[in-house]
Amino acid sequence: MKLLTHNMLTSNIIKGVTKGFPLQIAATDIKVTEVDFNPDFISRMISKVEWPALCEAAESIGHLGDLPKELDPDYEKNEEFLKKAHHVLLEVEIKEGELICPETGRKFPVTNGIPNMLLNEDEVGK
Amino acid sequence: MGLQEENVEKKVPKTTRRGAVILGIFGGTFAAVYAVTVPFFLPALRKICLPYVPATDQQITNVMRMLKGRSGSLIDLGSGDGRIVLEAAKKGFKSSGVELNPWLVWFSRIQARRHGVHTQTTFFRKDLFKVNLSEYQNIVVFGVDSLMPPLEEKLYRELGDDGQVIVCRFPLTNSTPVDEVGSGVDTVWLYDKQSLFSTSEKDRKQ
Repeated sequence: MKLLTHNMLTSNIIKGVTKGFPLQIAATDIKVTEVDFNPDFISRMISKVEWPALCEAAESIGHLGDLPKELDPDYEKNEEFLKKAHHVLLEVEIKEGELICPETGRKFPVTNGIPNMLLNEDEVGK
Repeated sequence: MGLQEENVEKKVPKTTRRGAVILGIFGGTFAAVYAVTVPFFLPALRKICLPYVPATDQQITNVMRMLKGRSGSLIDLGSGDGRIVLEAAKKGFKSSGVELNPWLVWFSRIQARRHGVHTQTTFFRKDLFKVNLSEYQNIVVFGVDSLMPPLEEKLYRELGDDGQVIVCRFPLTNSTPVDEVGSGVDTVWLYDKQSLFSTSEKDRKQ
């Protein structure tokens, strides 16, 4: 699971949970792969993600590198920066581990890079 | 006096037997209704929370439009009553449907026979996240908002180079569709392997 995907996941799907973002990561297997760099795509994704949460997640698994924690308003034109963002967003993959709800501690397993967000009977909201 | 006693004795067994039969019928009917309906609301009660919402005619039309010119095998993830699988089979695709509700699977198989496509279709019960998507050239899924990110990861990992995925109701979160058909709730988006976590071929060529 890429950190870009992690930035989209929340445990607010659980009944009664309102502060389910971001999910904490407990990774047992992380893989770094090479992904084609596409500056337009990265630019677009940066405007979509929650930047502080992304940095927090990357840092928690030791893959923040020298990615700045604050966004420069001119980031779209900064290719160096876009490459670093590309690396963190798409090239760092959590293969095995757990995502933990910050409010309830509920664990969502990550298996073979895919997070299992399916809920149990008693957790489903209205 | 002897006759009266005989009559009383004969009456009781008959009423009891009739009562038992009536009770049996009601009890049996109740059990059958319960057994059939429970899997329909069971999804909301148990681990897998994907409700049964059949595709509209417009959505089916849009999916078929998106499949024009394609060949190979097809799978509908969460096939419900099998309507998409049947339509695709009629168009020549070797089609499969994965569905957790056993009654819908049973119903789909009957419909396939009725429409003369049962040799072209397969319906089976499985968690859609456990299906190996690399085996199919065409994937159709009517999504649920919160499950699109995990599904996107699965597609990224498993979709073949010649594979395409058609998504209805909710687009993929971090990918750029190659094509789009329809509008509103009937919108259908197309993705290929290269467009997952990326811009589409179209944008890249520009």
